[in-house]
Amino acid sequence: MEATPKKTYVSRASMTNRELVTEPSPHVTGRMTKDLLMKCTFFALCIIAAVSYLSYGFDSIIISAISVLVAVTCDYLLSLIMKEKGPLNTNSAAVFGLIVAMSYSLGLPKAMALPESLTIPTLAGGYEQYMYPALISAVGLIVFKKLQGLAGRKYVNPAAITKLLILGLLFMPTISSLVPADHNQMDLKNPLIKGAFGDYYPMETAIFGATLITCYGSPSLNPANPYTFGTAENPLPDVLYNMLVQKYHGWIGGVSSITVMAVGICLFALCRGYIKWRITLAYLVTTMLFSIGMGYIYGGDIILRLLFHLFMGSSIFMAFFMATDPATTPLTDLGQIIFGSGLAILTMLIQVYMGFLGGSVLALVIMNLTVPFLDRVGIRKPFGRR
Amino acid sequence: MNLKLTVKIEERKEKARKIPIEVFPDPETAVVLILQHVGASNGPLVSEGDKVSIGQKIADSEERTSAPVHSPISGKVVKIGDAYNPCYGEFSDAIFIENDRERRKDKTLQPISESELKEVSNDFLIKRVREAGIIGLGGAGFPTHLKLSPPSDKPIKYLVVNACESEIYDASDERLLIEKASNLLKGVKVMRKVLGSPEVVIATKDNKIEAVERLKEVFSEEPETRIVAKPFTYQQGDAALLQKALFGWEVPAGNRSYEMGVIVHNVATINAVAKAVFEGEPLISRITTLTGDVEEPKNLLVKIGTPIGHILDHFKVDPNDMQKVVLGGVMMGNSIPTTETPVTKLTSSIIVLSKSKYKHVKRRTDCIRCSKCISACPLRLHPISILEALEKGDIERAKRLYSTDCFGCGICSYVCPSGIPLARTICGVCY
Repeated sequence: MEATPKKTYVSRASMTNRELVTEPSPHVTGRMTKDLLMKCTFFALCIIAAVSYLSYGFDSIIISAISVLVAVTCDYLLSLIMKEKGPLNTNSAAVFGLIVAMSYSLGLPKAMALPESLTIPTLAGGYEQYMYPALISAVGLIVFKKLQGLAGRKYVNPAAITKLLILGLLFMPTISSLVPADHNQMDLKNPLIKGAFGDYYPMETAIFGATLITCYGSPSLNPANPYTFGTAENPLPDVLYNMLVQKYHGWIGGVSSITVMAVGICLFALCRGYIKWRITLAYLVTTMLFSIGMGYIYGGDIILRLLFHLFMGSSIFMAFFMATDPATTPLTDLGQIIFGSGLAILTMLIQVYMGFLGGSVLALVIMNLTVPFLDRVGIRKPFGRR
Repeated sequence: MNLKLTVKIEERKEKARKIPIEVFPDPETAVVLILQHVGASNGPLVSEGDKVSIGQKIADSEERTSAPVHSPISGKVVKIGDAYNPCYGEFSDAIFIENDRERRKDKTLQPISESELKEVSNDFLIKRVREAGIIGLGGAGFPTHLKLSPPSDKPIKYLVVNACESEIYDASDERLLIEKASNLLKGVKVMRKVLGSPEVVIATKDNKIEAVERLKEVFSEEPETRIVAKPFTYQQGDAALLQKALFGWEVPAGNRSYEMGVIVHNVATINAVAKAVFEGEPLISRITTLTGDVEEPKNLLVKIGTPIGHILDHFKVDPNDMQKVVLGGVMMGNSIPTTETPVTKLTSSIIVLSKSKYKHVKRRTDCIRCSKCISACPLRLHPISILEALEKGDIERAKRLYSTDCFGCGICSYVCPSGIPLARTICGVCY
């Protein structure tokens, strides 16, 4: 042993004294991150919020801003308390806040306000219209987003469940609370209590088309749009315009079906593969088939029925932005298709046979609960095992 | 190619593929890891103070599934101790040899000429491949002599030469195609003889333009040879997925590809076979690409056992700016904890990721269940479901989801927006 090695080489002991960082492969990753996904979604929702200005003026912008601020603040405060268990997640909280605002039923804008007697307390005018979204936002973020997250995974869509619980609990005894009062008056829906037995259901009958035309094609309820495109004899163009381009019926998210669809599809394309578009597609297709089927069974104008079920309320918003919430939807392709179809069927059943407009959030919550089972449906056979 | 491969990963080898291979000087001290292949473990054949010569066998085992290692330099064994083994992600035994610059050569393996090839027996060639320590150089590390001796009841119809080089930084195989295509031809001849003259399919990416031209030129006379240059994706660098792309069949899981009458070999392996048979040189050097955040990428013919730090110092890579050094490709290769790690048979590339340019990767956060990993998996596995089962300790469920089929391509981790290290957890291989 005349010569000792010139360099001292590593031994097991030096494992603690690493010179370089070691990480599991792969050492490069794709561009998409959770934050980027949330930022894209937030931007998409902002476009819809901006469009809602045309229908509701500053009210909708203020409500959106309040809701987002409350959500972000709660998230920040919680991150201080929970430390690692609930890390700061501003983008996600902001998206949540905006979704709450978008799915909140605001009622008709002030400019076309109905007599006081027709409005429920949540509607335009009072401070309530700011209070309730803020309340939903705060409770939803704390209880259903953060605390559910602690349990390992989220089972129900936080925005949907909170809205359902708060508005449902507060107003259930009197009238269906998820819908502005003007809709109650329109015979477009029968509240749960009234419609449970005996009374006719407008959507099941041939009268359906006429009712929709009265509501959406007539200036008596929509002073902003007095036969712009149609006439008293042929109000269909006005109905089409309302359903597709611009609505004044209370949901910020459903303010313009075309905007929602365009923004939604752009978002799907931008975040290719990261948003579960199969749910939306299955929802839309099933709704269409179901409407056509009902049209044949109960009669009435099939086009009007299609328009109503696809675009009424904020269900189109739900289909694109709430039903595709990744955390509360199935993993497999087949599971997603079943989820979307089930959501459509459930929404229709609740709205039509229970006379419960705005029932889409209830349908969403119910479908969310089936996700643990749907996750096990449609597991593919791996490569070389067919 | 009816395989749904939705994820495309851009290559980053524009610079490196144009740089000719350069012979890297022998190291002062070579650190030869005793275990560099997948299979039965080796034991050292030399002890401290022994003199060894170039190409002398220094570690081997009686087992059929092992491959010996050889001394890359002539010199003296100074130590048998621990060195970081990048193939296994842990410290393991290595033989430290100090170079005496005498360049003594070991003459155990006698070269044969091309005309002699017809006369020698297959057993001789298979034994030669084993004695030369040749293993799958594409990254699998499976001893090549085993792949050359399939069961006699399985006739081999196709010999696939995998020249896709799908790792996104690597260019060593491409340079090999360009500069050593004639050697490749010799290697293919050996393999065809051993495997009973199967049809040869050389699969390469169509963006290796110079390499494809060179191949067409060299293989123009060779019968039953097809050169398939297609835009193969990263995932199709895997032998099973490449067969799907070439022939349309899926190798039944758990079977080796000879069941389908196919043998897939990497180009570097075939080059090593040609060297062993016609030059009598065992596997003591390989071509590797030094790339990443370095000023000028290099393609090096480097002796196995050269410490990585020696190469980095030689090309003046700033040690203070190094964040990570990855051996064998950024997608499937391993990052090393220390630059004392030696080059192994599987080091197809040395990728330096600097602190200033390299922004790592995502911090792990909760899964958002976007299911991207499921749609991205080339094997149609359900990575996130498997991971959930594994983290719950439910190994049975993980197995029912075919977790054992994963070969660790890393696509699921690549696409994951939450930065979850899916691939390595599922594959369970070292890191």
